[in-house]
Amino acid sequence: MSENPNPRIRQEIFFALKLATVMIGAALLLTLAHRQGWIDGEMVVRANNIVLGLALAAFSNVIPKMYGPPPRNLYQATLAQAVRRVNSWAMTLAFLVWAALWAFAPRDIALIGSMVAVGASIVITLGYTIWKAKSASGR
Amino acid sequence: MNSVFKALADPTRRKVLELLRQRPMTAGELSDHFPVSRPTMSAHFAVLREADLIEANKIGTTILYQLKLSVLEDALLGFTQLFGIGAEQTREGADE
Repeated sequence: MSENPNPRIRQEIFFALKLATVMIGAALLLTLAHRQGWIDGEMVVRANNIVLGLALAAFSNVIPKMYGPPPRNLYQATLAQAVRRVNSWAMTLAFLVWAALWAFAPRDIALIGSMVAVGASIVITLGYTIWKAKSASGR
Repeated sequence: MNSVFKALADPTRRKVLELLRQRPMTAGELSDHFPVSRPTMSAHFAVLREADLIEANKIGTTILYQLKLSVLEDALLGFTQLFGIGAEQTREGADE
């Protein structure tokens, strides 16, 4: 049965805070390294985007495990499960592409490509949600 | 992570996850797909719940099982299905 959601919500908040700490910590360390003259500005932007992409991919990876209100009927449960799964896959892959582009692609391609990847994942998720909701209610 | 590998190592539990990929199902609906007793199925559900791969929600008087696989676990399940890990075990079990 659905257990008490409080510990789960607390765990999820701690996980999100850990990821935020990693992202902010990496940005601060990279800025410090740049000020010390150890790395150039280009490297700061690239490394920061790689950390950002990986952290958001890690967050998207666990979307299906995140707490949501208990379903009231089978239709709602089916829709929620399907949408969360597609959303999670789309966002995780998009942010992995984001990180990979910033790691290996030329800057201009990385800049546009990373935004296209995330934009496509949002379009896929929204499109799938609408399609699934329409097809399920049409039955 | 150990509990996840333990849960995915068994072909029956993998089949349960495969079925739940299609849609959430009740314990009865899931059990109908397997030639094993209800207590055995309950034990499988318990292992999957302990590994946080499925979730049980009560809707009215029925308990509905839902999938809770992260992308990584979903990919892992796909790989184990692809390479048929534990399939021999199932075949031997069916032959007996």
